[in-house]
Amino acid sequence: MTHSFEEAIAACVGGVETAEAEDGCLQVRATARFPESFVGFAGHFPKAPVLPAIVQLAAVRLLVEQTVQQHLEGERFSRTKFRGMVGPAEDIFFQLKIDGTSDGWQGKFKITSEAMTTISSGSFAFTTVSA
Amino acid sequence: MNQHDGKNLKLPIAARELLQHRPPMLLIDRLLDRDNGRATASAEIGATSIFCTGKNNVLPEYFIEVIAQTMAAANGYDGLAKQSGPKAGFIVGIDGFSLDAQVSAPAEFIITVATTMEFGTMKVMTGEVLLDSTPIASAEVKVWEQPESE
Repeated sequence: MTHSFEEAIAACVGGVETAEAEDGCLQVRATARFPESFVGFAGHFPKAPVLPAIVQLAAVRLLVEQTVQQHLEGERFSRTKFRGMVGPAEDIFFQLKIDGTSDGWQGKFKITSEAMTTISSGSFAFTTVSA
Repeated sequence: MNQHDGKNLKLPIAARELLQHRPPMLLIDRLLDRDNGRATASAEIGATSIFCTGKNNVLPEYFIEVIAQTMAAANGYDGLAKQSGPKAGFIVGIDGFSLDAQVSAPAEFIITVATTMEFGTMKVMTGEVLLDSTPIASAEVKVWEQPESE
């Protein structure tokens, strides 16, 4: 049993593949399926559960943290668009491009459905936790 | 069932009466103020909240959701004033979200939002989250409100 939102999201994300692109950026691919019992569906919304947008953003952050093996503190998201809704037990696919900065990591993400339509996309920047 | 009628709305109003969200996804507590496209709400988070890490830090994405829920509560308030119920609203865009430091729970936040553009079922608003009167997070959020017929 998971006790935190973050743990519940991490438990639904898998198949993580990382590669280094020619330009030195890290490219990450992953899949996720959020079951009907996922805590984020409870209360969002009771009659027609929809995956909250913030779950998608938290999953992006967790994938970056897992890839760079660092806990990230500051967070910025920009030009983020949500074009489709995700219901329980739907497979979704993450693509991230991550680049190092002087104080953390920045990049872009795209989440697509099984039918390859874009669910969401945007840019992020995370700063690392100071020691 | 709502206890308020459109003619006699008094603030603050519990968020539960203005939003379709329910725990654990109901993150704001009360709508405190609503005036001329602006709204203010409060949100309290305990150290055992699912939106905290094991070290009691509040998840960054929590702050995006409380901004969106404050705007949705304002829309719910407007709906109550017109004698209609709360509608479902969905985040369709986020720009300029910024959280520069970790925040520890327990904590109580004040959230302020202001509508900057409205076109049909789409609204764009700027929101800010304050802790002890200090801004800690801000974002521009675009929300699509589900029409009543859907």
